Amino acid sequence: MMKFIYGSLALLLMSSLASGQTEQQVLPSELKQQTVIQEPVTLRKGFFRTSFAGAYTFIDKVFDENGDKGYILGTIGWERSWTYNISLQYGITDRLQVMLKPVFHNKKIFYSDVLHFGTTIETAYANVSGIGFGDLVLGLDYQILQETDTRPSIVARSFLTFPTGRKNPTAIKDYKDFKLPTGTGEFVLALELKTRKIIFPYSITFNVGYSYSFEGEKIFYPDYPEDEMIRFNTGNRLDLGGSFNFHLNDWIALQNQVVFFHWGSNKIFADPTETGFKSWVLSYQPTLNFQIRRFRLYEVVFIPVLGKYYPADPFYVLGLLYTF
Amino acid sequence: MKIICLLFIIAGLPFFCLGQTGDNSDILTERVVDRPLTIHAGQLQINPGYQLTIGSKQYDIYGDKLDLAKEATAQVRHLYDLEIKYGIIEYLEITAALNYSKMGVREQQNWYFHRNERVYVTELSEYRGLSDLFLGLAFRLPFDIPHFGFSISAGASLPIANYEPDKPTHSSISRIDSTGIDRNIRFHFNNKNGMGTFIYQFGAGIQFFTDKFAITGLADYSLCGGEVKTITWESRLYVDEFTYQSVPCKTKPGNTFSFSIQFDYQAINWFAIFGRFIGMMGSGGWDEEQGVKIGHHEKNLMSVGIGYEIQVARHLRLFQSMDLPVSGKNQLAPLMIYTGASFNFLTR
Repeated sequence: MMKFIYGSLALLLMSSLASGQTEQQVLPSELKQQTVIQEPVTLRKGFFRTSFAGAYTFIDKVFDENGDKGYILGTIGWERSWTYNISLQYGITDRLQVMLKPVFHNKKIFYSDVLHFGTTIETAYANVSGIGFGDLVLGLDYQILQETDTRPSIVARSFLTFPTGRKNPTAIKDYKDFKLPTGTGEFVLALELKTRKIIFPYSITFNVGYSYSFEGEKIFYPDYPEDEMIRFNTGNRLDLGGSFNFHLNDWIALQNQVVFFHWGSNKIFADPTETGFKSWVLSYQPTLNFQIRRFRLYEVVFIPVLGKYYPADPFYVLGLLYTF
Repeated sequence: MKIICLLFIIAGLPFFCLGQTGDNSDILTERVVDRPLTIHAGQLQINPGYQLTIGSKQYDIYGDKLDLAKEATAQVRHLYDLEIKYGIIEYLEITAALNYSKMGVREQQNWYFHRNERVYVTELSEYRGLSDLFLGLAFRLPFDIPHFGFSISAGASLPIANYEPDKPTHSSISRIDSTGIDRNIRFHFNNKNGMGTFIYQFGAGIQFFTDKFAITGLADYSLCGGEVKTITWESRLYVDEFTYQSVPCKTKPGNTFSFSIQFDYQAINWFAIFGRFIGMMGSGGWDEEQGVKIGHHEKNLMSVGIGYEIQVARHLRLFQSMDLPVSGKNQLAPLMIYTGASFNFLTR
């Protein structure tokens, strides 16, 4: 009898307990509106994201062999470059994401020489520019560990660059009148490990990566005969980075990233073989993200702080992405 | 030092933002089109910013555009500025402003061929350093007229910054081989950004506004306080070694009239866009060369710009603008991109 009473009471209590239960349902459309701080490190299954970004830079200053920042003088002149890329990302599972990124380049190099032959003066202007599609990047990201309240996420990222861009200078008239290549002419495989922890409204990330460049062949010197193909090997790159990110309000997030890149020596297998300098740069990259529903507008400035044999000018990126 | 300041600002941002509220009736979250020409009593406003100026064109003295990029003499200026305003009373504000900038101006590279000698010459004039400190007062009408505002202002730049150029750092490298002599000469001048004299500034502002729009006109006249005693550097080259000698000289900056007309549209409470027209006209001034005063050509520049402002949080506003030149004379034709923040606090 007592068992029956207890059983009945338990059943009655269960219904009252159950009525107090609430279930928070998050709609997929809301998940697609999460900010860069909140969203998972890879896209959720079935989510598709497309982005368009434009980058502008110029070459005015450079870090020299002593790490001093100085203005470029001499034959290099002045260069400005626009780069546009479209990135297509898709979540195959909640942990696996693929990415495809075609790039379009528009760059121009300016320099001029005033030649004095006694009383005769001639001015020669360069006509060196390059417009066209560059190399194609295919990426695959896999979340090794998904983030929980107590542990960070870890994601393995891989990128393979296909040399689809024009690798050789064309329309060569002389050393200062030709079309620049828009591709690198080499395959590149890059691997990266990235970890992130969210402590809302903040997040912290660390990443380490390495990219390996395969040997290629292309025309290096536009004043050579056009068929003078030379083998080369670009130096491999080591990346180390970390970021501290936070919400300025519900829909604006500021990312503060510090990145270190180190490049090995480039080799040009001419006769004799030319070996370039090792170079490195430590940069600060603030990114301002505006999350407007499924749209995200972002601005990045790549600011070289310290370096060696590396351009010392900022690099500006303005991008827009949308999650379907 | 710059990095420390930057880190300090970044570290402080979340604390300024955490106190945000959705209450738009607050002075600190006042909409762009509702703001008077001076800030409110007890309001402290700190405005740091960064301006990138890309000068790839220049207007000559006839108003024709020269392509500096084609000549590889395009120039870039990085300017970091800081402005602090405080509302002493409701109709009177005090302003202090200072900036730091750096820019390199190249000349075309020259090759001189003479018999078996080839001389290659490049020249760079670098401008780097702090500006003078501007202190100013602005006063607006002490009574409210619906949809209208008017202000007058006066101030002066105090010549606290270094204005005498540092010793140049020219270099010369010669190489002799069987074909002759190659000389590579690099002239590098190191200039400062100080003016070396007081610059007085007088201005006025007028504003019309509705619930969604505001039109603001500002005009300023800057008057040079007097001639400046400074130095130039003369150099001699002997066997790849430069020797320098400073030579006293005088200069007098010109006077400048500048104005702007800005149209603001308050799209939503926390977001406003603007378009503007900016003009600058300079006249007077001279430089002394070998005891002879050479007057400056008159100069002017007209540009148009667009921008936006976002009320990010109660204490923080962000704004960006871009200005493009449309006409000018004897002046660089720069593209200017400005990114700034505004931190606002109430002290009373």
